[in-house]
Amino acid sequence: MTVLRSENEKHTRCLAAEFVRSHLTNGGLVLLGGELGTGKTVFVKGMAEGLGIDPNEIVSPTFTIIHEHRSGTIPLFHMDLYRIDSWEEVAALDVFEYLEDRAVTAVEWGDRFAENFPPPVYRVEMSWAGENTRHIRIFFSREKGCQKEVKNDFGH
Amino acid sequence: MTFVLGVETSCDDTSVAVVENGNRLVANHVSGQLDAHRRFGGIVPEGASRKHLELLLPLLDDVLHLAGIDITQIDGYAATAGPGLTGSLLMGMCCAKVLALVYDRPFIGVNHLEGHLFAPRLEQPDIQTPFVSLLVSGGHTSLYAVKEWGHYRLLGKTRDDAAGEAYDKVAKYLGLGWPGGPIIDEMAQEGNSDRFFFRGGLEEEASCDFSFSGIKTAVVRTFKNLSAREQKDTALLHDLAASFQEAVIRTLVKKTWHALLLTGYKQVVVGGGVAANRALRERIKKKGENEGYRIFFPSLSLCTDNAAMIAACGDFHLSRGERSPLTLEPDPRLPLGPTHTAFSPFH
Repeated sequence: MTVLRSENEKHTRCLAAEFVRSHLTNGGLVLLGGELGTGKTVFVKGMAEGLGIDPNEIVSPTFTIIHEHRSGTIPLFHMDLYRIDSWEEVAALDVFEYLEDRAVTAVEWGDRFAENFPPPVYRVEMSWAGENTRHIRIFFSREKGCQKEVKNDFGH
Repeated sequence: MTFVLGVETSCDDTSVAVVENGNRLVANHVSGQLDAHRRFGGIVPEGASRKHLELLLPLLDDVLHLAGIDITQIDGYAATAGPGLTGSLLMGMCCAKVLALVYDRPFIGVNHLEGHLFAPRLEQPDIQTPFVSLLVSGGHTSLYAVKEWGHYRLLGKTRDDAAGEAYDKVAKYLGLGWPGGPIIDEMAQEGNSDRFFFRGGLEEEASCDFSFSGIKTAVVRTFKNLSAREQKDTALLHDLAASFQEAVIRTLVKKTWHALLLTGYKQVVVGGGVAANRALRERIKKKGENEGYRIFFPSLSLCTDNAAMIAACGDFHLSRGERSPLTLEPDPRLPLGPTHTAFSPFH
């Protein structure tokens, strides 16, 4: 089992950027999970950096639900399902249209619907380790029901 | 323009309004989904767009009835074109465009954020530029320098969460209910804000940028470190709410005053849902009074998203001869630009 340990926000961003560069250069779907305050938006800021997008563009989409960023090597669609309770509501938001593009789609609170999103899909789980430190685990599903943990083969 | 009809569907609320001569509110209907929200502890976007579609025509009938005018008397149509949710924006824009086409009147797409700047004009038509504007809601927290109507400069914005979002998330996490703003505001009145200290994000930084994610996280951590008994202590929850609110408001005030310093302007206009917060209103008004600044807050119903401000803003642009083509598409990330003509004046 590989648990990444992030020492602070900057470290989380570095790990996320490296994750994007090593696994998502051709796009892909990433579902993020973890308690309030564990750094999901921070992780997406790092993902943006990995795609050459100004991380200052990235703010929480909780209210607006979907943010589109097209200034990087490939588009980043940043979604947030915090306020959404059922898969029917997710489907009504036309998220599948976004998944068709060659782009990185990062979905905060998307782990709650991990069974519903079509694979291949990455799942990033964030949890508390201390006040500033966090544990990060990344899983990958190539097909439904089959999930393996992504090894820490990207740098710090 | 005598009568402009505005339509606002950028996020959760559906709203239709009629404004006369750009600054007299004739009728304004907002159909929030508050009951449904409370039930789910959040918004019901189950295709917010579908919800808007169902609500628009009944609202339109009601508003015209309330205004006591016939639809043929409407001189122009305005609808929010962004920022917001694409599907939701589409509904309101479609409605306004079709009416403009059928009744052969001009149509204009309005920037939602610019709309908020026009809200206080509906009650205090004498507001003069220049002023600093603090827009603070569930989806936005930003400071603008408004040199003149139609000329805006972004001074700073949130780098992570909007202030209203932090309110909602903290309230939901503490099990206080939804919407978080009014609940925490209410609880804070009875709480001791000195019980806990939360540092505002970027509070000490000499910029107009905000960050509310850190305060939210600090409240969560503080709560987690309480004993099971303390977590059920009502007085303690009141203190926690008061301490959280103190940090948010202190930051908003600090940044607003930094914007006044930067611009040299002497007036502040506050807009957005969080502008309805009682403690924020009191604090900014009092500080303004003491230091000789004029402070404008819209009344509560015009702070939150509404179509009256869209109609007022639409009137401003239509009266300058600007028009949007009926092919105009919603822009989910529409910025509020420096020299702001609503949209291309050409068909």
